[in-house]
Amino acid sequence: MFNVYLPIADMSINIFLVIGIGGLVGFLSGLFGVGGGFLLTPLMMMIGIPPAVAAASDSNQIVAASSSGAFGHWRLGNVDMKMGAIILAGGITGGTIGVHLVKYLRAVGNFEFTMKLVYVIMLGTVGGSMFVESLRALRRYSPSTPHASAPIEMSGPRLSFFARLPLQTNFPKSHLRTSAIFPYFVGTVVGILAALLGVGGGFIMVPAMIYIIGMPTITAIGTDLFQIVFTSANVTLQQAITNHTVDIGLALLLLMGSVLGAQFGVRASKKLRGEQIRILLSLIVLALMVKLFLDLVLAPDNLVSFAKAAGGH
Amino acid sequence: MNPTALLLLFSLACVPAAAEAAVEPAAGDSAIVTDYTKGLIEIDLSYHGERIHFFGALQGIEADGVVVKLTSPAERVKLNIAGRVGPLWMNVKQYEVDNVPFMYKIHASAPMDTLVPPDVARQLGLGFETVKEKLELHLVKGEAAETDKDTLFDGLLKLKKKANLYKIDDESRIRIKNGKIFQHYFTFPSAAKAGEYQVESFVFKDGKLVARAMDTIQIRKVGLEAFVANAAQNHPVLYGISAVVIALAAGLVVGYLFKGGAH
Repeated sequence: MFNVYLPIADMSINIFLVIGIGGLVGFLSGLFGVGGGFLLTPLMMMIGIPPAVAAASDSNQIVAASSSGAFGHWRLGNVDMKMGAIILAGGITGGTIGVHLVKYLRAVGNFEFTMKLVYVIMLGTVGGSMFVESLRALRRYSPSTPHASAPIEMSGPRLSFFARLPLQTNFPKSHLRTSAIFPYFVGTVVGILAALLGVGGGFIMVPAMIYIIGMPTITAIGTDLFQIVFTSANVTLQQAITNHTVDIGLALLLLMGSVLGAQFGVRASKKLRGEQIRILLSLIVLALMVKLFLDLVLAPDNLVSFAKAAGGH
Repeated sequence: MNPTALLLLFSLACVPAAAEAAVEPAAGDSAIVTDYTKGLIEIDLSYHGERIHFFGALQGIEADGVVVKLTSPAERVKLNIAGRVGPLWMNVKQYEVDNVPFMYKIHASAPMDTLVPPDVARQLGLGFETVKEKLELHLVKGEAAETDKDTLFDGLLKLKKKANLYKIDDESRIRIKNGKIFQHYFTFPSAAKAGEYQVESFVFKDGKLVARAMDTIQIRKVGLEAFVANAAQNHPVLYGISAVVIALAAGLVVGYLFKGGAH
């Protein structure tokens, strides 16, 4: 009745299930102020979308979901164009490598395995550290100071190592001078992850920009969104060319859901304290990690699977 | 329902005189007249599988029962076999398997073993065993083992049955009315893809094939589905650029409407 046939995934799916998942992730991203790509791909796989189509269509959705935010930050002058360009150069390199890695892994039949393994490591690290930190923060602040929502300890260890790297560059917008090598490197890593997992990578990029490179928070967020739009656009294009796995219909349905969900998420976030929100997010991330981990260690109920389940006949 | 089929059903079941005219004179022991409610299934946005009714006339034929086989041309598939590597399960072997029918369904008016002797069944390709026999395995990756063919076929069968692409239903799935007309329907599940599907009807008497017929059902993508699938496959650069531009435009419009609540 309310089914829609996805032309690239080659399957019929309930339209409200897809919009609902987009809505759930949109809600969480509005609540937590994160992109949510790292939640979207695993959830899509759970409802039966082939992993490669899920990741590629997610990248397509991220282009849409981050474009207006990036535009807004650009107009407000929160984008460090020079830094952004260097990170983006890395993002495009990484995205291109990543897409070909996807092609290779699909051919040998272990794309899903690799993807889940990387997800488990990544979600475990991010979720675990977030959980520990917000638990500590919850204990530190007494209930009498309810407005302690700002993140603690902004100044991470600035390694003198970066001062000695070649290609020292001035970044006037971010008020710093550092090597261009590290931003390019982080961009490349995030680009590979963007292609492999269908994520924007903000959860790696933003902390790296603030704590390691030393950029001001608002410039880091603006610059991150700026590079995400173009890195995801590149990944979408390359996935379409190399793997034929981008389902534009799926991406638009997810966008529709996530935009609506985000509205409610933003409202809900005003009723919760910072640490409560972060502990909640870390629990969601850890739960997802456990589910994917079990997929890797429990014997599958069918040992046999199709290689290249979708995209191409 | 297709008017021809309705007419056929009506005339054969209720008016024997009219039925005589509907049966081809040359039918005899080689051919029966069959019809179906639809010869073309179109995959559009709302496609989620479809059901087609089939009819056949047994006028003038002594029959014990009818067996109908639905298949699509055999294709080559790549199958992975998972195995344990340390604590993890990953795909350790890969085979290219030839002669795999994309869809394989059998309906019968009575249990197949009571209608068709094994040698005839094998000849006509009736039964999962005959599908298994025809498989050709080519190892692509990993080490071959003797049990691989069984493992692969059992796994394939599970995958196909789950998608409702393989099925054998011989528990009086086909109804024969007054010994003159048989009727049943096949469900083409949402997983049924574009292509040509053969429906072969076999009539058996005393373990011998006495009549047969063949119908063809087409499934094809139409409209937006066909356009998008074709663009993605044959014009990937253009498709990719369009996907990015559409996403950018949609994102900006939606962001404007909701005043920045989009990300």
